[in-house]
Amino acid sequence: MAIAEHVRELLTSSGLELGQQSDLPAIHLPALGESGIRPYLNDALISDTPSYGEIVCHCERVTRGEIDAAMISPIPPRDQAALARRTRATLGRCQGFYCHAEVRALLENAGGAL
Amino acid sequence: MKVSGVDLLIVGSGPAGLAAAIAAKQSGLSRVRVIEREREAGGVPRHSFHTGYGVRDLHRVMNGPRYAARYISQTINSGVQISTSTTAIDWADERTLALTSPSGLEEVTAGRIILATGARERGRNARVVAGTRPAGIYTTGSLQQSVYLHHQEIGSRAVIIGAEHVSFSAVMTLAHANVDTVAMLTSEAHHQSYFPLHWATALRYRYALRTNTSLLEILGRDRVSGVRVLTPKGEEVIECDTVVFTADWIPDHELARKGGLQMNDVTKSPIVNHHHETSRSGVYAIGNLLLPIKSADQCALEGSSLLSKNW
Repeated sequence: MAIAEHVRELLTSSGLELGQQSDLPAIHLPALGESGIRPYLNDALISDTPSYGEIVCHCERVTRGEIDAAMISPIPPRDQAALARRTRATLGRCQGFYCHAEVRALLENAGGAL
Repeated sequence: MKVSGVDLLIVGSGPAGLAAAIAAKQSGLSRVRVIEREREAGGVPRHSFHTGYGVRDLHRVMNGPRYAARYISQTINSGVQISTSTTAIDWADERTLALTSPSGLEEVTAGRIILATGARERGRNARVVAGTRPAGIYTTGSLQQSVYLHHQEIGSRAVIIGAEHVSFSAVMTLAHANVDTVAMLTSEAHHQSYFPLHWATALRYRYALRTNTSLLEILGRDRVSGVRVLTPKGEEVIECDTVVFTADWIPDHELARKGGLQMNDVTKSPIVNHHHETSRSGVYAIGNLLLPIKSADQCALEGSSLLSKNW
């Protein structure tokens, strides 16, 4: 954000008309840490959206709901490595023995690539 | 949160778990439930299309998916409840498991619990292989699911690491996806499978079995471009776009460990007595969770004989 502010100042000082500033979409960081309640343990969330109870990556307990949410977020991950960093999917002990193909299918169906 | 109870809860719906469920019903238990974390029951045979399943238990030969389908229909017909997309996440008590599924959280208390969670192959990280982290690296398990369940694009030239039974299954899976196997590496002096199996696969798919050869490094940036190997004659680079790590099995023992069951440090399996009972009374372990790896029919026989022996 600081870099963006600096670039904006440079552009303005060079005489460019930047127009009206529009609101950025709100960015919600997914609950990846173990300090809060992960989606697979959140009964209220699962009863609202059942895909949060469908674990796809079993080692890291990443649900289909979290992967779907990442893929339709304002800045969606474009490849499997990005999706992994965003959700933890495939980064556990089995390193994708069980979930590689399923995660890849979810990614490709949403427009990403291997 | 939902609370329920059963006479017998089986974790895992591979051949061992399903065979145990069928036998439990036949022995007269009324409430038998199998939970499976994948979307479909059946375990590994469901994505293993080569033949050879069913020899010891069903006395006929068939491919993996047909073998799995037989066990699933027999299990359902005998009145067992199979819950798919359902994960046992932790122990709530001695014989109570906490489950997560799309229908929410649940705690199931069971008279007896059988752990049949199977085994997986060690991947690249667990084997501590040097090099970059490009796309195109598989285990046989992930490869089979990509090819047979999701029909995904794999590549064109593959190197297989390991030369055990499952490595030959990887060769056939790659051929099905139009990928040439260029080499199969083993650091041992011989392959560790049946001689006719190696002879027939090598003749049909024309790859080089490289014995006394170990993998040093994976090369490539976004995509695998090759592997650097150490042969008896020195170092060499084999060009490929796919690497498949095969065999080197480890039990999927997380639930057993979470429960604080006594573990065997060598096999990484829970320690069981001659009735397959673990260090916790009423909790049993069968199949490839114990001393991986056994074939599917051996696991099924272990599952079905468990109940006839002591229940």
